[in-house]
Amino acid sequence: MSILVEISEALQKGKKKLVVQYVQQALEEGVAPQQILNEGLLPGMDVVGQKFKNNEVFVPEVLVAARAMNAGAELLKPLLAEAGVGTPGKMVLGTVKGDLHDIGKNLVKMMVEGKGIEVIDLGVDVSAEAFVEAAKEHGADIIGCSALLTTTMPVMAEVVKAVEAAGLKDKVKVMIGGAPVTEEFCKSVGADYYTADAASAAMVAAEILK
Amino acid sequence: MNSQQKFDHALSMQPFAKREDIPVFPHTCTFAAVVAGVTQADIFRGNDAWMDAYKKCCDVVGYPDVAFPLGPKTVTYIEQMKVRIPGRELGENELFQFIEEPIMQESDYDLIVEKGFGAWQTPFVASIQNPPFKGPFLKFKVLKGFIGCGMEVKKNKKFWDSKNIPLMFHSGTAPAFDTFSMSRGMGEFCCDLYDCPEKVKAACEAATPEIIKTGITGVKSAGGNRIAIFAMRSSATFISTDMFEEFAWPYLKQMILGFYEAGIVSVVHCDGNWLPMLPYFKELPKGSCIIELDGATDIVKAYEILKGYQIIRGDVPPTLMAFGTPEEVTAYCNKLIDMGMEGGFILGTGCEVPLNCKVENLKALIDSVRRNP
Ligand code: B12
Repeated sequence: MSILVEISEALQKGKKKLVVQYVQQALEEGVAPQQILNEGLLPGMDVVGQKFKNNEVFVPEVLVAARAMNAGAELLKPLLAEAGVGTPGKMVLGTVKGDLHDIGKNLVKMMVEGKGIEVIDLGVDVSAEAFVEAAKEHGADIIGCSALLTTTMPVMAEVVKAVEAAGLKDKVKVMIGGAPVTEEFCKSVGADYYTADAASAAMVAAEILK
Repeated sequence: MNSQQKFDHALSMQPFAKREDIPVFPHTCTFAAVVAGVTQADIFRGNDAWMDAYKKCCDVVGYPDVAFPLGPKTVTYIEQMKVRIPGRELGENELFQFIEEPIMQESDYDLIVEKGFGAWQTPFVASIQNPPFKGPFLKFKVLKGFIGCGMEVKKNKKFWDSKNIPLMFHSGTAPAFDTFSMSRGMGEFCCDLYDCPEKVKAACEAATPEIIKTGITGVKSAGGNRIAIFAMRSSATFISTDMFEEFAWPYLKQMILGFYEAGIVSVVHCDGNWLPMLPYFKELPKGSCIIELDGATDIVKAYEILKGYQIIRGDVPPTLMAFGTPEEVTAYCNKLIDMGMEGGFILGTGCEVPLNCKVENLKALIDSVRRNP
């Protein structure tokens, strides 16, 4: 088995130490850091995302896989920076004001990072203004909003308006999600994208940044 | 039939003769304030203020067949989570908010195995109070809190008894698995399941008998015979059936059986998707549980699986209560009623009625069993 496949498989099983060991080994063997990322770590996370979407694996499996991915990516980070390899784009992500549910949002973060996209995580209880401020500051391409409460969903409409008011409509796409959110709601507030799960969120984000 | 008789009939799992015989239970603990025209801060002040609001709400929308036993302040105590309080950390009319903070350490699993669940739980419950309990006699203060909840339920029960309306439950508890998940934090806890699974299981095993004992004491002190079990992390929204079988079910089953032996029915609060977990409940004595679904589980399939084994309560979703029309609520309820006529069914809301629910929708829900379509 090639070392890149080994990395991907260890990642899928959430074996952090093994992933770190294989990434080190690959580097020693002279595999380019970008190749390790694109052909080892990210495809591994992709498989986990698909399985999560199909209810073959659940939250703990995703969390430990993401932990393994991050440990491997940590080793590559300085090397990728040195080589001048950038990310395909940036996403500002958070749970909207008044809402403290973050388990789904964190899964979105992991999956989107699994596409090599940089995620700026604003945490929970994030106001529309704070989303837009952060998007400006980081030059983000996408704003991702999560809401789990019927009472906090309207904040998503505020985010869309704030993006327009800041003149960022053409630059920044707004993506929304969370259990009570629907495609219909997405249309009604004028957000750009909605997906029902984290793996699809990552796919759409990657699509946007192509 | 009066409400008590309807409820008993539902628990017997015999078919209902008429749709009016299906008991209805809208969970309006906090929404009551909206109808009564008072704030969330008002009903958080204490049991009397809450009961006043609850009664006013019932006067407006109609009395339920099953009542919620305790006010929001007491709910937050028995659920054992850190909370932000309306009128204090939150606006006067905002819903109280549970917050999840990683307070429990990995070493606490060992502590529980060595010194017992109480050795960890007492300082934990004391520390999450707002403001935290401090000083000596912590154990006494925490216990006094639980007994106080029981006394309140007992008092409220008197009022509802006079109307022949049963309470949904008389005390509450949570399985060790779910308590650990919420007090370790989801991320840490999931890693524990991989890094030190044996420790987690040993701690669950050590904690469960104590949890059962405390639960029985709580129910008895309220003079009741039903206990709510908040198994918030044991569903397929979070874990696979493999993990459920290994870490959650053995202890949840032990709890339900322990309560059953003490003459107590378990009201298992099943937020999230429980469908893959439901067949396990067929291993239990018939009628030992009421399963409360919140709209995230396919209730028709759930009923198919558990019919004749356990009672189901549910599940008008909060989104429908908030954004739907009364006609849509009625249509949804009618489907549930048609399904539930075979018995063992309580019509209810999925978890709690959200604060932005329309009053007409709540009326439509209550009326749906009482009016022929
Ligand atoms: C866990 C949970 C909690 C935990 C949260 C812990 C945490 N750190 O997040 C705690 C106990 C703290 C909690 C608190 C409360 N909760 Co809560 N909670 C839940 C529960 C059981 C599961 C939510 C969850 O984590 N699901 C698992 C994740 C993986 O799913 P997900 O979030 O939907 O995410 C997926 C997709 O939606 C999508 N996605 C998510 N975000 C995004 C973002 C983007 C951009 C995209 C594209 C996709 C996407 O991808 C994810 C993965 O595939 C639900 C029940 C339910 N049926 O959903 C109730 C639920 C959401 N809670 C509810 C309520 C009422 C509350 C409280 C108000 C209760 C209270 N009075 O304290 C508080 C609110 C506190 C606050 N202000 O936020 C209600 C909401 C009803 C309503 N009004 O709409 C629910 C529905 C329960 C119910 N049936 O009544 N809760």
